[in-house]
Amino acid sequence: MGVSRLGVSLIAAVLAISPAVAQEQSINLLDEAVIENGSELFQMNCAVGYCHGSEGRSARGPALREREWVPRDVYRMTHDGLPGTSMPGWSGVLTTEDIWAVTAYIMTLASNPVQAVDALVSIEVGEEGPSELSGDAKLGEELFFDLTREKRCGLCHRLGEKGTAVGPNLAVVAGEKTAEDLERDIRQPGSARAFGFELTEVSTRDGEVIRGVLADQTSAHVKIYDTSVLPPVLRTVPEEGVRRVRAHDDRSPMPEGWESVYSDAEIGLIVAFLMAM
Amino acid sequence: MKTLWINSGVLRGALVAAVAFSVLNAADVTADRLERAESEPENWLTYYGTYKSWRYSPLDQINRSNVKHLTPVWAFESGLDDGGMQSAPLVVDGVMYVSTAQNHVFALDAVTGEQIWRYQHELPDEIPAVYGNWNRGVALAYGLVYLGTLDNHVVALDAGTGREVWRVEVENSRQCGCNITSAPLIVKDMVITGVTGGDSAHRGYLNAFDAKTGRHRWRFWTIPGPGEPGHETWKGDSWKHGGGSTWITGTYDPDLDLVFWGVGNPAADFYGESRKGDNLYTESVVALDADTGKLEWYYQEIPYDVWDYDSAYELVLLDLEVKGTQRKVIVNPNKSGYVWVLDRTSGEFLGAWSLVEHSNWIERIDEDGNLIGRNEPPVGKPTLICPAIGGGRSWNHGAYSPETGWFYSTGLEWCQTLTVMPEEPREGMAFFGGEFQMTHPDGAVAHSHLGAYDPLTGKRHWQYRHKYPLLASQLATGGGLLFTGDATGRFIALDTKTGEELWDFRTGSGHRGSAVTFAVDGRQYVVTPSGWGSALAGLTTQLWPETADFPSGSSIFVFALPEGE
Repeated sequence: MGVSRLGVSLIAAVLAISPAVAQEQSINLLDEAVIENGSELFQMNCAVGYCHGSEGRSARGPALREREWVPRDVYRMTHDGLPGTSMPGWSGVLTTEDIWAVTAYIMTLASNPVQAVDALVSIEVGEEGPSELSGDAKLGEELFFDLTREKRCGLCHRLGEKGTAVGPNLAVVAGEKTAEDLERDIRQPGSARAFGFELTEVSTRDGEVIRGVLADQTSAHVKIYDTSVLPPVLRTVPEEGVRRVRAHDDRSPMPEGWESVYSDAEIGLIVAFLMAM
Repeated sequence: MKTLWINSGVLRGALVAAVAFSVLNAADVTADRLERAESEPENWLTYYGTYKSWRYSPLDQINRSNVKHLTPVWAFESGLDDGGMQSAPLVVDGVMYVSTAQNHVFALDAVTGEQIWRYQHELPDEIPAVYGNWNRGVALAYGLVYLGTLDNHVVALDAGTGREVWRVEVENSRQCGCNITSAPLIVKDMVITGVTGGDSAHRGYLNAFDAKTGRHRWRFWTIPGPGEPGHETWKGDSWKHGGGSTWITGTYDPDLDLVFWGVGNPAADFYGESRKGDNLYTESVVALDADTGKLEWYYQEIPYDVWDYDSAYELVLLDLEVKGTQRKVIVNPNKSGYVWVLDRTSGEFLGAWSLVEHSNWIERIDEDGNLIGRNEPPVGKPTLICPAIGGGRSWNHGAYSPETGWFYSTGLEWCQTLTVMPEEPREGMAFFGGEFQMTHPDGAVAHSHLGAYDPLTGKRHWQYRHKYPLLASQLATGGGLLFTGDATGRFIALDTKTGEELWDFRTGSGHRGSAVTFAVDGRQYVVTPSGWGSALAGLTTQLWPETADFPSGSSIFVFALPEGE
């Protein structure tokens, strides 16, 4: 429990804010403008630093040039990544058109360049892409996950690819609350209650009391996120070290002090972001 | 225990200590014991051996006269060879703790190699690719083993069982484009960890956590925020994504109660227009109050770096006579190939000298530490820059021997054709602002060397030349030996006084990690990681195509003299 239960609704939330309609288009892998775009994207994303090297000459990643490639394979590997290796998937970072442009460029390095007869590829665009958030909600999202701040909402809440899943999925919680409720929860975290995220106290035989979100309880151990400090600490207490586990249904494990982290205006933007979810 | 083994004075002392503390084990490693690590040479308690970062052991049972008989005792293969084996084992009271690529940690019987436990950190399918999947070491104290992870967690394991005790996610690694590959540093009751991310659009930092509970103690931002001194050295919003990673383990001076850490390059690495300014505290050595993380002093080695060099490498603490006065100094090899010497009480510049011959990024460093004749590559025009992004030296650490008073370090003679390109930051994504192609120096063939240097002046006493980049750390011993390894898999012992090669052994895969030495029951052992891999190993293929076929690996080899010798 705890660690993974956010998964399903999370996916739903991401889908809800993504462009939904896919359209069919074609792309010409020999089009100079496409290849040029692919070359620039390759330089920024694939050649860089320690990966495939300038013009695919190899570095930490394998050499890409002077090898036989099938365009759809290149596209798929770039789009999905190669799990278990250092090759990440680029879907969600680059658009479908961009990944095909990178593919077109890589094919110019291959030992079997694309022939004119095979150059036209039918692609589906628009089925994925970055969040459509805009205006206040967009600014609120940036504040929520702002890595230049030592304290931020994202230390306990994960949405999409960002943040850490300790507290509840706010895409779900926000759907059940008004903007006033959310603002009150931020300003007065004691009121911020969510089912399954009651304040839990684990008293250890060493005399320590760990307060936070219960993550797992088995015959072998108790795992609890200590949310009295940020970032929260996942503590594992072996069963023999546990004196008592006590849940407080009427109390929230959310830490206090957000009015000193975010200004009034910033809290307003964060609420706008959560309402947009 | 055989009397044969205690002919050595140092070992005799170590043996007495070992008997006196025979009930001690990993659970008993305290701050006090770490501060006095020199007094127990039978153990290798911290990443660099001691807080002085000498990578030196006084153990002398294995020495110049008998090293030719050095023999493998056991080997261990982890099977986790993607990324090579870049770790430095720790050894305490007969147990070895070693991390591997993919964040596995093994506890092994240091005498037999038998596995005691194994921990596998559960990683997400995708981790930031820029920095690879290796790990360079763990820390040990209070009965816990500390690991920084590829998905940016700090994890504490029970040293006896390998079971997880606490874990903190410092930051979402996909969002920040950063992770932890270096060994944590124990300071008093805290565990301090740096982070990668200097080549990503990311704002760097250093974090301290309570060693027993994982509770966050302090953070030092390597890039000052609005209103803080130094913020004005960043143009516009460039501070938000300016890199400044702390990717190599720093150190601590208990007498001064200061934590020292080296900070890496600013981002974008090569395109500087959008961050025009000194870009503090990138390319700096920072001294922090150990309890608060507050900046006590800093010295910036390379203001406005546009070459992707780093001040992040080891900080060697020496007490040296400088112009007739005894000074507490820091010796900091920089990725640029220059070595900076600073007063560690104040950060005062005391000198700088070069490890490499082929260097054109500046003409020289003047007596006040100013960089003279900066060769800043213009946007869009391919420019020869030496040394290359791989550095005039890699991160792998040098060694200092108090017997010779010399600092031993590799030097890499290679260049690159660098093309700078404007680039906008994308949070957590690679942020280089250019691309490069490795090249040979003008009129020369790229190569590397290992040398013995006066740490203050850089006067060279000997040099050992090698065809391929030497990318393993050095280990100096009281036996007058300097151990290191090469790309072809040879683990070698040189004479610290002459550089003469005295012994070698082929471990089957190239060397990229840090060898250490220890003793159990009066017998000295030398242990080396073996396993070719890493970003630089990848880059070598551009100049030496045959290295693409050098096998990777992930093993540990342990050597000793034959029993009775």
